[in-house]
Amino acid sequence: MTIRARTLIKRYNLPLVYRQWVTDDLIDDPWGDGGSTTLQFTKLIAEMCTVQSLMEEDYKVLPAGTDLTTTRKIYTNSFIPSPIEGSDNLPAAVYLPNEFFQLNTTFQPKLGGWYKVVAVKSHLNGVVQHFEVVVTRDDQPKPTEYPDTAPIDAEILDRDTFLNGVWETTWLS
Amino acid sequence: MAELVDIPTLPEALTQIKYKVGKMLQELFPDHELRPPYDKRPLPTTKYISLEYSNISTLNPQPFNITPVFYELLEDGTENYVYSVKQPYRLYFHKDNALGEAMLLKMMLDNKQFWYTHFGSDDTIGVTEIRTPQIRDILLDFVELEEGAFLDITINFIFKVINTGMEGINEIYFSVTSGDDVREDMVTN
Repeated sequence: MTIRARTLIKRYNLPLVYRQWVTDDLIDDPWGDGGSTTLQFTKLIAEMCTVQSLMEEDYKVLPAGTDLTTTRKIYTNSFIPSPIEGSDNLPAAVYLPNEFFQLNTTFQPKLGGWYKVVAVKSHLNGVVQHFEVVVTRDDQPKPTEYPDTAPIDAEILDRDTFLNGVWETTWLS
Repeated sequence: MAELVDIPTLPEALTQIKYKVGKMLQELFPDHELRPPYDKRPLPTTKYISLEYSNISTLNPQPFNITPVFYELLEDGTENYVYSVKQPYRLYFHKDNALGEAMLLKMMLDNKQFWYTHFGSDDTIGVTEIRTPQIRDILLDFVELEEGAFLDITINFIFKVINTGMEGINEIYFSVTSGDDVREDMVTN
């Protein structure tokens, strides 16, 4: 199935962020951990996504200690960079709010939040070029490492408002 | 000798050590990147030096202890402690000519001019012990080795701890027979 048919499964957009280290040469800080190196966010929209559970064969290549309940596979048409040696980026991240999982229970599931990229597999020779990305939830997100999601959280009321992309203009502004 | 006001607190001292060691490395190896412990950035493809805090028993005859080298209690209730500490730092050189560069740093630290340039202006911090560099190559992707070498240096530094609102013991009263309570009129005297 190389053509990613829109009619079979619903495709939707997801909030995506690229995270890049920026160095300020004016701050005298030899080791780069005293404020001269900060994270710069590029907010984007990952288009035509599906969020799926992992296949059994995906388990074999995951880093040890990955929590399988909060690890997902995302197919998207947007380019997702993977961090490589010598680059200056942190893994890109995708935001999946609690509303997306649509679990109406008093037991709050540990599912919503920022999911960061573990591995990127690119399908470039298909009819539609797309990326297959394994993401895992950041269980201890630091406020400095992710952009603020409060503005779009206010607009996402349930699963449908999230999937219909009501939040997109707020996210990009 | 340092005055008490010039002696840093422990967090200040650790920051100052890292800054001084970093400036020294920047001057000696201007094209190397420096990486602190617990850094989240991806590793560089060029030469770099990383810092590790190590605890090596043979390097550390006087470990982090709780016996102050100086203590005073002032009349206003301020208590001043000064501690002297030895802390080993491991400077890890990565990529081409790592051992040569670690050896160069060792030679330079043995040079009085270089030592006093970087550590002479501050009498609370000094490099006291410089070990022999050792090769520690890193296995990359199970195929090839990347050169690596480390140099352990020990840094001696002093820091102060100030407590306020303390009360000194001026007089101690004893009862005549053991086990008796202390009489009120003696205590309030």
